Amino acid sequence: MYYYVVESVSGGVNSREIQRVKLLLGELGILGEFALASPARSVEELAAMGLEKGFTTIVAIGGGRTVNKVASAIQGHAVAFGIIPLAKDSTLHTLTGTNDIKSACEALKFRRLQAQNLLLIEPNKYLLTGASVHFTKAYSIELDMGEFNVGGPTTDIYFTNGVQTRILNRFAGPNVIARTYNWLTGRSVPTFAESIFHTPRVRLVTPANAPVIAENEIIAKTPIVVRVKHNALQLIVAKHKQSLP
Amino acid sequence: MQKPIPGPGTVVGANVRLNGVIKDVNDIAVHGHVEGEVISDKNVLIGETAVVKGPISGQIVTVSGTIRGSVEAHIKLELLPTARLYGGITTKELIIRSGALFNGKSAMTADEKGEEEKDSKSKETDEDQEKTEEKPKELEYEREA
Repeated sequence: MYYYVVESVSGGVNSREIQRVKLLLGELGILGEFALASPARSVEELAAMGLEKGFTTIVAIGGGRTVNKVASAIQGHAVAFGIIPLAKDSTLHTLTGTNDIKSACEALKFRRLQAQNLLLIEPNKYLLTGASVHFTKAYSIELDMGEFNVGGPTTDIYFTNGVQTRILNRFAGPNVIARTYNWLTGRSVPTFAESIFHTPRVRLVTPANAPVIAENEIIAKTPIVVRVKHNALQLIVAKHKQSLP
Repeated sequence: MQKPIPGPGTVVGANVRLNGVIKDVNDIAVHGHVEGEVISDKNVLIGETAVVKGPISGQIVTVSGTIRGSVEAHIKLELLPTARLYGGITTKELIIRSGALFNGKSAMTADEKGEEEKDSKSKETDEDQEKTEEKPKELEYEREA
């Protein structure tokens, strides 16, 4: 039994996109119950209602915010989680191995499940799509990664559910004098401004409270502790999608 | 160690300071400052801007920065022209390019099993030679008797 949580779209459940999705799902024989988010009922509440009603498959229709909220509400429960991204070229399509609405609906019909990790920003923010912190200038930050600590001037920090933390300094590189010298002597030293680490737990401390952003929405403020929750849910993916290691 | 994760291994960027132990089942590339251990199941690259204070271990270790500590390369260690290595090394194959600086002890790990077989075979050959040299003397004695 399929339960579809739909983000607020212009036109509501009668919008063209939702109508097209309903048509495709009907043709595939998996047309279930649709629940549209509104000021009265949030996405999280609708997902919780789906769990209470005993649905075995809960599908998020919309963008990354909707997907993260539904994933956060159902993680840890024995249900299958599906996604129908409404935007083209979405990272959500990459996650599910689909490339448009039609293939996303077909994936739901085929129902191939894959264990999926979630990023957890303690205490209770679960994310499928990752999170980031950005500064307009390079600040000296500190990352505690368990067995080692990392520090240095940073402008951007990215967390993904693939146990990966990336930090970047957009302004890294030789200063004007060094650049001039290199240019005069024909010397070029590439600047490696990006760092990549793989640790299951990270504590981020910044000089001042900085916003943590997921899908263009502020979800927390530093300092934060970020962990990966392994196999937090069963994601429905396209049948041809390669399995995760 | 954990199962290998596809994609780039660990990268320590320039202007980054790291204290502690970095371990990765994939490659490790260091371009910043590290105080501690660097341990990879695969290869280690110490970039030109890197400064590492501590031991390094990997299969193939390529150095073009500064290391103050020991290096253990199970397959090969290569010091590029801008490398500065102050510490002991243990490796099977060593390449030092012109311009590199190395100040420390070196231990080359040969194929130990092959060396033992060579030694035992050369010992057997010596023993056989001694036996053949002894035999003619005994025969002469018997004839005289």
